[in-house]
Amino acid sequence: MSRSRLTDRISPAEILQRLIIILSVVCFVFFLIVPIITIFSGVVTDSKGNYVGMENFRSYFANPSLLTAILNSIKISVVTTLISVTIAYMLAYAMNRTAIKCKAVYKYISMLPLFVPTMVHGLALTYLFGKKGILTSMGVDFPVAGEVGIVIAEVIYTLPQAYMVLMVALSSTDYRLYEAASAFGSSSVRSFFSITLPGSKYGLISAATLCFTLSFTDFGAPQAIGANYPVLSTSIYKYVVGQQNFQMGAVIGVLLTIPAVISFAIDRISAKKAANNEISSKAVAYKITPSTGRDIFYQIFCTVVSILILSIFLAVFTIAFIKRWPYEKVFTLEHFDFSSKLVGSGISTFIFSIKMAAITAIAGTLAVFLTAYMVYKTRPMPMLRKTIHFCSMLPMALPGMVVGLAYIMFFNKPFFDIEALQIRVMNPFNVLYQTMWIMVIANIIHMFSTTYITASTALKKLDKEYENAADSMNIPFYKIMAKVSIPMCITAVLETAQYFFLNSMTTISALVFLYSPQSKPAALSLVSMEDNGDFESAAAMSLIIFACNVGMRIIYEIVNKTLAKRMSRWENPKQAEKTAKKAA
Amino acid sequence: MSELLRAEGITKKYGSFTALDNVSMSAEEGEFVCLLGPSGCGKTTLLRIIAGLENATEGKIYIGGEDATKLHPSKRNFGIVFQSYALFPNLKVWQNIDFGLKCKKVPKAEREERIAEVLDLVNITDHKDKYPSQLSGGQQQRVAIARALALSPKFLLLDEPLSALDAKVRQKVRVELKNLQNKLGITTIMVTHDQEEALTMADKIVVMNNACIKQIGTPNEVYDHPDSPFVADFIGSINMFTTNYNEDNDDPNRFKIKAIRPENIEVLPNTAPEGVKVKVINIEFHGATYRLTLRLREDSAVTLMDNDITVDVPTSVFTEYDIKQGGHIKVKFNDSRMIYYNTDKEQPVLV
Repeated sequence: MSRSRLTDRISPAEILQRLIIILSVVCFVFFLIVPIITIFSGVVTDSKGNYVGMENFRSYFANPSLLTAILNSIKISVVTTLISVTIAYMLAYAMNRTAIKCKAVYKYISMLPLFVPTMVHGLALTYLFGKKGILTSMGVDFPVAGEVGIVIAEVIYTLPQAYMVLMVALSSTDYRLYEAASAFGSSSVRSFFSITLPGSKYGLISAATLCFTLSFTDFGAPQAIGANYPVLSTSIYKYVVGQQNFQMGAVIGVLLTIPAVISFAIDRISAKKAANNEISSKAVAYKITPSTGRDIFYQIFCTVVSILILSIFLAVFTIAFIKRWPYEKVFTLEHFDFSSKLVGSGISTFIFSIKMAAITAIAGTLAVFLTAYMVYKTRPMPMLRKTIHFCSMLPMALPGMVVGLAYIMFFNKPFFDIEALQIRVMNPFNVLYQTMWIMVIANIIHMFSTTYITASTALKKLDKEYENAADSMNIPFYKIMAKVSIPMCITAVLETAQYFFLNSMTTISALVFLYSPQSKPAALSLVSMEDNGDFESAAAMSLIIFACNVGMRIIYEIVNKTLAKRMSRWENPKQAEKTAKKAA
Repeated sequence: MSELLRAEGITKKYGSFTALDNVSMSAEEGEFVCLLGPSGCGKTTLLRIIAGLENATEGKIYIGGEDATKLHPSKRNFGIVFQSYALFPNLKVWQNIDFGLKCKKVPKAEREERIAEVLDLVNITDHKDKYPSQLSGGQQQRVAIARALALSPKFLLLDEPLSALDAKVRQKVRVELKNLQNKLGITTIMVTHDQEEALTMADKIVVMNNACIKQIGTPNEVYDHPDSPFVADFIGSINMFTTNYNEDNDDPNRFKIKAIRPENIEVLPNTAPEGVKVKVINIEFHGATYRLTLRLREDSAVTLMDNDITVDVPTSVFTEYDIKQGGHIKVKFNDSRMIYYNTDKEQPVLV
């Protein structure tokens, strides 16, 4: 071939693809790999950076209160998992397999805990059962601070998550199995243990590992109601924020990571097995058989669970709108005026939160979809794309607090000493320290895996030849991405943005180490309000966050429905029918 | 005619799996080439390597005499129709075609003209404002062809374009597609596993199996003179018999395969003076013909055959000879159409 201009041979779009792939590898290296290495190197060095081997671990296990913390954490998580998964399973069973009334109401109520930071569940328990609590003042004596309170708060926190997983598991079954069983004369109890339970096995495993990890690593609830009951997440906070002991922090961080890594592994294995066990496409949907006794039982059960969840929110409402429970029981809005308060920066933290959540949602969705698109829909650099895929799944094994700690250890270093070369390099990322951006990045990394799975599932469903067809027509990938691929999975895009927003508003575990007085999210201001005993302001702030998240969710649902209607025009008639059924 | 496309020594490996093993083929200007083979033989991989959608592990691709091995697909100037058609579902028919033109910065008036032209070419103008999902399979396929032709490509690649269609529609589209290709004179490479499709449409058939090319030739050549038992068996029907000795060779390990197509076996009444005595094992009605499965009778003079024989007889002959299941007739082989293969193995291994 004649030595024509380079652009005649190489497509500029492909060069852009390569640049994006390299850029995302670079981002993962500096925002994920290096911080992780930093935290792990913190485990084996002393405060001056000298190598000490396992010394930090030894001093950890020599400390009786820390040993207690680890045992407490395990205990809390095991009990939470047992209770939460049982309730969630019964709820999901009631929704899928019984003919109870008001299913939609129960469903929405059980989702409510998702819309507030976990601290709020702990706070609400204090509002109900604390010294001046609503129920305490009515003569109920239920000392909730400590162990019991943490478990209750964690159950409320993990319940919707376990419920969602189990809903999926219980909604897919093959009714023919039940018909066959009853043809053999199998009782309904026996059918439950031989068909229903094994059929939802992988859902149960997944829900259990999820509950365990969430409650093991949660910071908000123990902080709010733990009193002096030490658990790992509050210990790490005390060591790092209180004593600036990063070495011990790193050790606890590693301990926090262990169950997350294990459940990550279990989840991957069971996901693979579940994929092999998919129910046949000929499966018949479950038909609910009439049973009055069963329906009455589940109607009562769901009502009780809903009342318990609602009472949490009711308590927050009461404290937020009443002047001073139980002394001055008059309606007031003054708790919503944060300007008079010395503690926290009041409403500015909420505005900061909204800003941070919005930026996280936009930047995160963009990053996640671009990454997933590069991994699944492009050809160049297969090894690097595999690396990106691996890095995208990695954050799933990292608790938020570990991400936060890794970030502070990495980003607050002004210099790096590279001993082998005897040189000192300026840390260019130090400028991010104590800004909103470090929180945005920490949030995106922390939530990357979940959203990446959503994005790649949606992209994988698209015909992989779209990009090839585009190549043959000389359509650059970004145009096909903007005009076809992204519009085709717009619902997944919205879901991702919504997930980023909601979680940025409520999750504090990744941020407890990263905020500064100038950059403090609302969910974190709850910590300082609670520390100062300003329960009314904390309740008011909780409500504001709650209202904002619910409002956002409603907007999301409306936009989603409108888009689904529009998209149904593109679907083939069979799919359109399915979508219509789903919507109904 | 000059050569437009050439694949030279193409090898493609996925880890330890070899999808293509040193494969070479070419296409002349205006030629219709079919890559034919069973699924998994590597034919689609070869097409994708020609398109640049996959990179060959070894070997070179030449387009118009120039080395295009490393060329990005967008620089190879081809149109492609995928098995799934890959029409953009959220774009209307005309937008699907317009997308490529727009990216090429063709002026609007010219674009509209070109869209009208290709829509007319595949006779789908009435549906231009519909979304792909509102069209039938055959209509979608036409849109895919129109889209592939819109940019006036140098050659056309078709990846099993007819496999998603109903049998009836497939036959109709087959004729239309061939006529269109004739009219435009565009070099076309089509992947198919359907031998009938290849025989009726192709100027040249490339028969593939197990990552290798078994034979390249015109439809007549591959049908009448298949190079190997595999090609003979894969294209059309054929009777194959292993002889238990070798006429040309004394080596007892070598066997000879005799092969003959059903239409080259003449059916005679049992009373005929010549022919081999056979028993009718099975009768299958095919409309204009009957397909008979015959077995050699024990008292037959010939003992060389170990397989049942398949023969096609016209309905008229069938009625005339009053052929019945279990009945006896005679067959006569047209020796000039007999094909011979040497093999090392006892059974005709179809490779």
